[in-house]
Amino acid sequence: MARYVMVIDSEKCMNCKACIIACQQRNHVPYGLSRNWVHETDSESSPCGFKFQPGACMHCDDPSCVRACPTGATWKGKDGAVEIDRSRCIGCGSCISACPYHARFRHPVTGTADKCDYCRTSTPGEVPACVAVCPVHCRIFGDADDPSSDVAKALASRKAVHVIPLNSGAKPTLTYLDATTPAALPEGRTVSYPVDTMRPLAKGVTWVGGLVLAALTGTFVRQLIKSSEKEDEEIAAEKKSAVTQEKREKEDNA
Amino acid sequence: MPDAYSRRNFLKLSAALVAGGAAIANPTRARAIGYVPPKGGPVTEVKGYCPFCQVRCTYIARVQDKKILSVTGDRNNYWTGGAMCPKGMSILELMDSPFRITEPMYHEPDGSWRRISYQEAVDMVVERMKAVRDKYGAKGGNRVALTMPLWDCFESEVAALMALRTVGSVQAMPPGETCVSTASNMLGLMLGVNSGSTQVDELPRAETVILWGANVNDLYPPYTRWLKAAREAGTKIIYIDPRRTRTSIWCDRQLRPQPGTDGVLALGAIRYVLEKGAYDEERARFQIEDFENLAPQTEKFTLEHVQAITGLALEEIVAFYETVASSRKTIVWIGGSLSRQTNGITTDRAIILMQALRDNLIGEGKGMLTFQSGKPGGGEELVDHYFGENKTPKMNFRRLRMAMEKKNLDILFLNSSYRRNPDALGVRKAIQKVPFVVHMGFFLDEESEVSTLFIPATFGPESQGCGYGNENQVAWREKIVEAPGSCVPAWQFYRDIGLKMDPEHYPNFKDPEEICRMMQQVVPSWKGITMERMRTSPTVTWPLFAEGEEERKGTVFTEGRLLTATGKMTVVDRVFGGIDRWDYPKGHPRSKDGKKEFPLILTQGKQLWHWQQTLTNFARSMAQFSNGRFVQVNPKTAQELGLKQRDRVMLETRMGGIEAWVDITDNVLPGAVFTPANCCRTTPLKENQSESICDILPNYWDRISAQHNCTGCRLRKI
Amino acid sequence: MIRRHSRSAIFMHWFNAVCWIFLLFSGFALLAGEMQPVGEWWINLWQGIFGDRGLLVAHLAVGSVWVVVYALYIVIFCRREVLPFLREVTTFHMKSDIEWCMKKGLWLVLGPKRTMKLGIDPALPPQGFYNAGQRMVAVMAVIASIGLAVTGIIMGFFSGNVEYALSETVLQWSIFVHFCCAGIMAILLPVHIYMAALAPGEGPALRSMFTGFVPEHHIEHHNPLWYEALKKDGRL
Repeated sequence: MARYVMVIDSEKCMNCKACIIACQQRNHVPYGLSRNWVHETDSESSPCGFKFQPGACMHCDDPSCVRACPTGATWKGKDGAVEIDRSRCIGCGSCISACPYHARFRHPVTGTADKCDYCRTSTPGEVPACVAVCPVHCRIFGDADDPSSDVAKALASRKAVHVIPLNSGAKPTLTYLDATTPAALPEGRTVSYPVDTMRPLAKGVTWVGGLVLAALTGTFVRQLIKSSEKEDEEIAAEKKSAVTQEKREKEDNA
Repeated sequence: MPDAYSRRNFLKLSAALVAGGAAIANPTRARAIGYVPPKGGPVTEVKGYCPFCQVRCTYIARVQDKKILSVTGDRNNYWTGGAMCPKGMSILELMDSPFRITEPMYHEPDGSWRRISYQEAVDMVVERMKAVRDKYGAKGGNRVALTMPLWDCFESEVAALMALRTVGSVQAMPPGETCVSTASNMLGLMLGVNSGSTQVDELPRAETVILWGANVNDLYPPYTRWLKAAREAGTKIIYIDPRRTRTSIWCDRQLRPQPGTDGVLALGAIRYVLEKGAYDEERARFQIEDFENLAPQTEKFTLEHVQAITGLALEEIVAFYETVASSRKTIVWIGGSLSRQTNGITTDRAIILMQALRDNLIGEGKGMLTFQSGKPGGGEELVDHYFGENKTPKMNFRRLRMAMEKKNLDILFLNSSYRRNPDALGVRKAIQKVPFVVHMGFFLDEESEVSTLFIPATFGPESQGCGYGNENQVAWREKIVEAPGSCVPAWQFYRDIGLKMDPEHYPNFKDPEEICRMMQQVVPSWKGITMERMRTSPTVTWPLFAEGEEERKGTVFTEGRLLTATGKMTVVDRVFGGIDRWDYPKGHPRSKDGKKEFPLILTQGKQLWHWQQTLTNFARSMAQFSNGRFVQVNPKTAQELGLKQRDRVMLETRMGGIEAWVDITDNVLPGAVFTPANCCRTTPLKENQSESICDILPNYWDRISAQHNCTGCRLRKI
Repeated sequence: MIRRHSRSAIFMHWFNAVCWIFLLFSGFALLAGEMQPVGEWWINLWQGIFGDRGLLVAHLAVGSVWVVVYALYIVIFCRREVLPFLREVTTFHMKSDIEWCMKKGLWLVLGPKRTMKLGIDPALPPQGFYNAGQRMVAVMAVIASIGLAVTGIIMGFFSGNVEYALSETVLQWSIFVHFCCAGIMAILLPVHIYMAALAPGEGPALRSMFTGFVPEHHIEHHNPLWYEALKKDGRL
């Protein structure tokens, strides 16, 4: 199985924004919203006064968006991509607020959550648009498990750096080479309260429901062995016989 | 022509016309649950090229149901490697823009617009042209003029030139009149070739590359790959620009001289090389006719003098000169910004002389680069083929403007933006004196305001044709989609006029391919450029003289000598004189005509996401990055003026003022002001709205053309 | 035999039963990972049958039909059946109701003999048309139904709404409430099914859910208060 990864040499980036527009056009993302970005950080040491950091969905190994999705519309694929099934997404936005990278947004036409899918939906099997248009090839994409791929070569020869938000346990797969600025991101937002509460509640339903079913089964079996109705009848019969006996005794006594 | 016309009226009218052609994007209310993307027909891929800058990126368009889904740079394009820049990609949006005007309109004398049919429009033009021909006969040629470029294809230009010839006119203004005409004239004068003498793929073969005012990365991002290739090959890149830009990232060293003082830096370099004896006199004399003039002409440009004028540190200057004096292969890339100052003639000449002195012009990894590297010739040859030679001298823009002002011009075909010219308001007034102005365009802009007739044009993918670009490339594209409404390609419009004017001479061609095939037959330099060759490869390099001939890449000096008549250049020119009379650009605060009230130096230039003042201002894809009209000033200057980030100011020159907001940054030098060249008044997108910067730039005419950079200005807080 | 359920009520009961079971089962299969009370296999089972999107569409379709039919029923039978039913099920007698529930439980689990051994009299407090258990479940079902229907409709209409700023919050709370209601019913439904269909002595009650009629002796035994009332009305 392939393990797809995007690797970015952010030191090469000059923020020409071609990747942003190429992505918007290829994936029909309305201008003003975007699946990818270039972060600008003021920097005295940079020759142009800024450090640039291109980015997009990090396709995390432990994605908080996937944990936040109540409908299973997003999942971590076996080939490394975090995928979205738009037909199952109800647009509740939980994943959007869960992503510490703000990689997700709601698409105003589909109404669903939207993010980088390595251009698979629009152009399956092709190089992602952002990779294709970059004039200095600072974005590299491919199968990290294939030693002949550019990605594997870059990862083997250079230091891998990940940008992780301060309060996040996300394990991003999008990798920067050698160094990148900023090295960490500010704290991300958390999962929404209602959807977050559903997890323990689901556990509760499992347990209580299970207990009830077990109790009912027990009762059912018990009633099969000996029906309470029969017991009732026996009691009634006993009572009757007791009464009869009493009567008889009374008559006898009389 | 009255100016009192309502833009709302125009838009209201046009909105009705536009409907059906380019519908305003109105997505149905989104329903996420169970969303299924709409299924379309099969997706095909079609080759095309970007219409904007000279890089001429080719792309692959994904087409479905006669609509372009997306464009992606063509990986097989040797020059771009598949890269494209944001402005190029905006073509996709512009084609379907809700702001696009898709019907011909007549501008009534009362200022209102009346929709007319295409046929009516053509008849109207023909009637006017015939009136000129009838009234003035052979002398009528100079009463009809046309401004270029046409946003279409090479064939459209040929068709337009031929249409002019039907009244005997040769007055087609080249686009470079206000851009890089200084550079191309000086290169022509001294090297014999009016464009770059080498090509970008030579950069990795050079030892040193000097980007002299050439902000490659901001203006032509796809070419950054050649800077990258050069660096990877060990080439040292020196960037000379007062402003820190995206290009700063890709250079080894940047020099930041005071704006307008580059000439002194180059003259000082010549002096330094002479003084150090770091040249081969025989080789230098081989290229410089009056070599003995060089030393006296540069004598006064000592290190101290250079230091005083440029404001650079002595060590910086010496280090730079050492590199110049020792590099055995140097390519100098001269930016358009040098041409936009009145002393640009001296600057460019000094730089070229510096290269000649160091024998860095002829040979591999040597030479001069510009962004205007080679428009294929041959167009006029074809026109002559049909209409015979016409030796009427061509007007420059100054004479054209005078003709307009004196009401000596009856018809103006306004294809490009007049706002590229300094004193744009003056130019506008001149145009308004022309009784019949035909504007071929896309949107309601300042040009349509001054026009009598609006003809809706087509974007590249809506018509076939070939385009040319840097490195002498010729690229071909097929028609990909139907144009909306009554939009017509320029070749069709001019052909329809031409056929009605002079059916005897004007060729009745049905499409650009026919014209292109004629070019290949009639014009010698187009012989090897066959349709098949153009269709199968991303670009072909012009000229080719034979079918199987290899493309000509690299230096133009294939015979080992310069291409001037004598094979040499001169230090002291007959027309332009010596180089020792260097002075500040006209209008510069420190020049003789500098004014005390305007102590800051104003420079204007392109932004990454804009091409000129026109089309891209109407693209939301560009507006999303745009910041409106801003002025960048150094923190020191800001402090002196008491300005804070985001303050609103009036940017004022002696011509007038425009409103802007202040961006304080180290990226500009103290005392300098930078503002973007784009933004226009008529765009509906707020992010791009502003008065044109050229409205307040005075027209400083040098020996060649109108120039405007480095004029004095001031900022007044409002 | 006495008529206990009208034809419309019988229809609505079984309509409800079918819809609910389907909606509950498919609904659980629409949930993801840790929010899934049954397990991955459940999702795979249902999505295997209906497909990813098909399951969602089916859930929505059945849900919509359920809401529409119920809305019509409520409107048409408002006076005749809905209001009397609501009045009936919301009439509580706290003490005896709790007593009934406890004793019925003991009766089922331990049986009357062992209950007596504990020193508790197994005799149930007399019940009306509905017994305490039925009333409690009915109230819960009504509340949950309203919750499910309202949040279901909200989700249907708000899903994908990008114009309303709070639509995401609304959706998140809707799915939460929807889930809670479904969770409660998931627990109560098996109890209802067992008590009404499988528990001993409920044969006539189950049959009445088809025929509409119950024998008098059954009423006398199970719903003595109703029996009294019928007697009083002279309908016996």
